[in-house]
Amino acid sequence: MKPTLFFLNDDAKILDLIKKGDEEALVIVYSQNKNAIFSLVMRNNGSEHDADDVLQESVVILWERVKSGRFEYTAKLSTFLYAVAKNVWSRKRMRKMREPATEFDNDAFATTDQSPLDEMISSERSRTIADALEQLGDPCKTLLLLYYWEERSQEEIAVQMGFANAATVKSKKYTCKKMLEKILKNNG
Amino acid sequence: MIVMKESDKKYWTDDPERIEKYVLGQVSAEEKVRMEKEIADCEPCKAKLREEMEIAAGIRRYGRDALKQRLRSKLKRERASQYYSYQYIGLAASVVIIAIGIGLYKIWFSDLVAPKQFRQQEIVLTQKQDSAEEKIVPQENNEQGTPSQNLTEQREIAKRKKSNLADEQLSNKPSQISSGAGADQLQQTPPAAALADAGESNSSQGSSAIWLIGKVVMVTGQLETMSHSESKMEMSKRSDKQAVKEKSVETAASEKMIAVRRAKDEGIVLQQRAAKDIPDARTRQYTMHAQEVQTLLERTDNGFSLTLYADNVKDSDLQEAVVETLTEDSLVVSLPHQRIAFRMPSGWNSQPAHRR
Repeated sequence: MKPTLFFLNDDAKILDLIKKGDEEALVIVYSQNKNAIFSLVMRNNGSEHDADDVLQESVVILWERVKSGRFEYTAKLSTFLYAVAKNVWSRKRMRKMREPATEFDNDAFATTDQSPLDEMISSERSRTIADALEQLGDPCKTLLLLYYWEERSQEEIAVQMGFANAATVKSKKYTCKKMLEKILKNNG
Repeated sequence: MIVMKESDKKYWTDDPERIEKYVLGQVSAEEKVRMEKEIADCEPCKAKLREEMEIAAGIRRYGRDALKQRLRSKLKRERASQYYSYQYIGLAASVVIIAIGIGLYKIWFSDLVAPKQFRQQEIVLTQKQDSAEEKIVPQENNEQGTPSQNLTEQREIAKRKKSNLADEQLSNKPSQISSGAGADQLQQTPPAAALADAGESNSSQGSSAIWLIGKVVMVTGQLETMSHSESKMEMSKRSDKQAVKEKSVETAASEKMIAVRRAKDEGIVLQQRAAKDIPDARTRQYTMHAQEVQTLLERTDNGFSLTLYADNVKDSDLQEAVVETLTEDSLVVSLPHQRIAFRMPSGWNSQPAHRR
């Protein structure tokens, strides 16, 4: 699908902002897609609060994908976001309401293929680990976020965090993970 | 390519880098299938892989939650900003609506206000005690005017305004009252008086009456300058230079007035009413001053009717009254004990006239 020049230009600006780490892009994407996503969620038994939550999560997923370099511009951002929101709302609703899947739950969205990690993020265990990471503090927290969330290479992390080289990052990462495991063990 | 040998009893899950690559999805689909097949029978391997994935998921969740929190904060600020914007817009709209309301109120009720044009420059006929010389003294009655303004310019502007206004007013249909004197006759004139009171410039309503301000310039038969002292005080307020200039203009005008005096008779019927009969609306809009006579000028079939609202004018005075036009835009009513001067709209006296 070839996007029109208008959307190419508009989306390109947003993608550029995200790549630069400008979080104002999140607000722009949220505002631009609010009507469509709210309509989608509320048409499928969701409340306004649910719609707000789904849209926020979808926008964050877009941010993740772009920042990690896993985003491929094959459709307009609005199309991508709509597909992500469908999946997010489907998972949320099944989890919360234990409802059977609806007509769009089985849709295949090439742009939103969920990784095994995405499936696990909503688990209770992931919440415990997130809490432990908060306790871990910096610089380990930042390092692990850069590596596991933003999927930066060890070389990039070394530059960003001022480590000597990738080997130092690797060593530091190992230490941080051990500290995290220790916190998790202590927290039970 | 990852190849695990059975003899080593080691799996790829023992290699931190490999397990991280798998967890982060940095292996190809083909390799992923092979790796999963390798640990299919290794429960500790699967447990280790799951643990690694949970850590990665937890870290990602932390990142997402933190980013969502920041997004919520930004949206909250955005909404608050929009809210205040709407409030400002609402406030501005309220101000505009109030202003429009005040404007409409003034428009609807402004028909009770006497037009400024007639008050811009009243001509007062004065007569010096010693020389009995008549002259026109411009009197600044315009509250908006500035004394320092050039007198000639003021007169030109006033003349133009007055001319336009008079053309509008005097071209309207004549009043039903054609002649007669006294209060009885005047009692039949409320419509015209009301129209006049509603505004001299209200030509759109067909009014044929206008209010005039008469200046009493002489009392008790002598050439006493009643307004001379006022005029003198006013003169003293102005700069000497301006006063000299003004005086020269006034002298010229006076000479002209004398030349045209009695040159034309007007068909004017004089009437008198008590000052208390002045309509309330008129008294509200115009502050009465001593030496001023509120006078209603109405066009009649036979000419004009001039009703003086003055308590000190008697019927017998009216019998001896003489109405004279001094210039095209000034008129003097000479009564036995006083003279009353009027500044008239231009072109008002185009009809034949007679004395009463």
